Amino acid sequence: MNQVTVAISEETFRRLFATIRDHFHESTSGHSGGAFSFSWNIGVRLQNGSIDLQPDDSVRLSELDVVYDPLTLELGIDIPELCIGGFCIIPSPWGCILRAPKICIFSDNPDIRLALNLSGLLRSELSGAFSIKTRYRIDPSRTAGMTDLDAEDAGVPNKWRFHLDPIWLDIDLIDIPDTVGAILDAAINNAVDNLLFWLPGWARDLVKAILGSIVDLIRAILDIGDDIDEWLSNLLGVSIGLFDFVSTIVADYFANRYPVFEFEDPFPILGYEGIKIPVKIPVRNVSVTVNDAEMILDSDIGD
Amino acid sequence: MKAHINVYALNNTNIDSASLRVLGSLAHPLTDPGEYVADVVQGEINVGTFRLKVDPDCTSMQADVDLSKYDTKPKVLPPSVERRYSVAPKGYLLLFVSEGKGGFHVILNEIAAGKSAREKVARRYDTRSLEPGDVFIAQLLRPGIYEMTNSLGKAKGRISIPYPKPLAKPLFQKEPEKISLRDDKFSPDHVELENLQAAVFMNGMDHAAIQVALQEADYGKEKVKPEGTAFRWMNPSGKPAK
Repeated sequence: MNQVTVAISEETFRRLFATIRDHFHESTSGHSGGAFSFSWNIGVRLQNGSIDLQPDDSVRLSELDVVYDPLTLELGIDIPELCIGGFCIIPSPWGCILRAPKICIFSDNPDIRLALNLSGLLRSELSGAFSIKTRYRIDPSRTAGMTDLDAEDAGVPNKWRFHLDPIWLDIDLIDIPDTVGAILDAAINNAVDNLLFWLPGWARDLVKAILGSIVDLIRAILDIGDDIDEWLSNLLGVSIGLFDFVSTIVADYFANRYPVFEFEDPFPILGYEGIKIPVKIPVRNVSVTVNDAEMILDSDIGD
Repeated sequence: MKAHINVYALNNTNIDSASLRVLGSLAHPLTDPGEYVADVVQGEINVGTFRLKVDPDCTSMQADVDLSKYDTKPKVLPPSVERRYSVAPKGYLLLFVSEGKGGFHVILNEIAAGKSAREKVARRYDTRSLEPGDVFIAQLLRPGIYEMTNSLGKAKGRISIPYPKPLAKPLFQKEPEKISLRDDKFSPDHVELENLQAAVFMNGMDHAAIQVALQEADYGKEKVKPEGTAFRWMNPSGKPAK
């Protein structure tokens, strides 16, 4: 049996990787409760990243940008009941004899919803190491009675596929620009204005004065503290599980869904020429090795 | 959004002891033990009654009666059961309106102990005419200048409320400003309150009705208009425009 060796240079490999990287687009949405309710709708794309073939038969991926677009969050918050009065009018050494009634301006824990649109603003960085996994794929649409020629004519030929199979993946914390804090504050003010929009200006200003800094109040309700980066990372990473989602979906995408390279079996040498049928050579026992310069495919050809 | 905002509190700019609404509360001292039945009147309509017992065995120094429970607004059902309250001697009956359009006055009738409400002995008190020792609490929200008057006398005075400013911390409700009404004079008769600070009127007159009504609203920055003339058209001929 004859053998064939095909080498794919590192540069070509990078181009092949770029093609499947640019086709990646996944999304996740959901909602959750707790101290405050929230829902999310997040799309994930991949950009940049560098590929290096390694001498140990692996492929190293570094600085792959994970772009979240769209990234919309909606947070539901209860503003606490807001009452005035209740002060002592006639005190005594034994306690208050007469106390003013409490009159509530807000009651029933009014809800506000904060809509945060952070599309395209946040980035994660993903790095990893992959081995090349060889798979032989028989198209599920191919029926049992089809010859190889029938399968080619029907567009369902068998294929050898080469996937990037993750050995490990690291996803770095999100790069959060300073503008996110301003976006959150603007969303809070908009939400409160929407809640009170029908009130005259003085009443809105009075309610805001009673609440104090509404931004500080809601930040406290959301338990943001001084560090919005940490809060947002925690919300996305822990509460929503975004990093798990990204790691899993990226690993599955490369390992199972889109090969970095593929070819038909039997491999077409000559196509239809007049009444002559195509010439195709069976490819068997395909193996892959990687060194720091190229990816090498070895195979037997012919029956 | 499911906010319940007390619009009556935000809209009320006329606070009157003779017609109790949200932001106006009245405390009446009750010195001697006894039993009373109170008629609650909204406008001209008697909307309900409650019973009040001034009981030496009671430890509470005030009986809080929220008159909004008697509101004739359709969604609020009239009370089917006569409410009962008790208070210690030398305590207070506190009448207030937590929400709704209000406009209440209350007539307190003494009844014989153990007798039914129909067996009224004597009319003891009508909130439309304050008595010595009564305390009227006005919680003013709308910024502006208010006039305080004794509707049953001649006393007058002014109260001002500033336009609220945005603050880093929640607005603190200061201790109320106490204003006495004696010899048909308010003392002090000019009061500058802070936002949320209440005015507490201590009545020393035999007959009085305290009204605090907005005279001039403060619109804050909305009121500010640019000074001077921003642009003046000049007649190109140099002649004065007719």
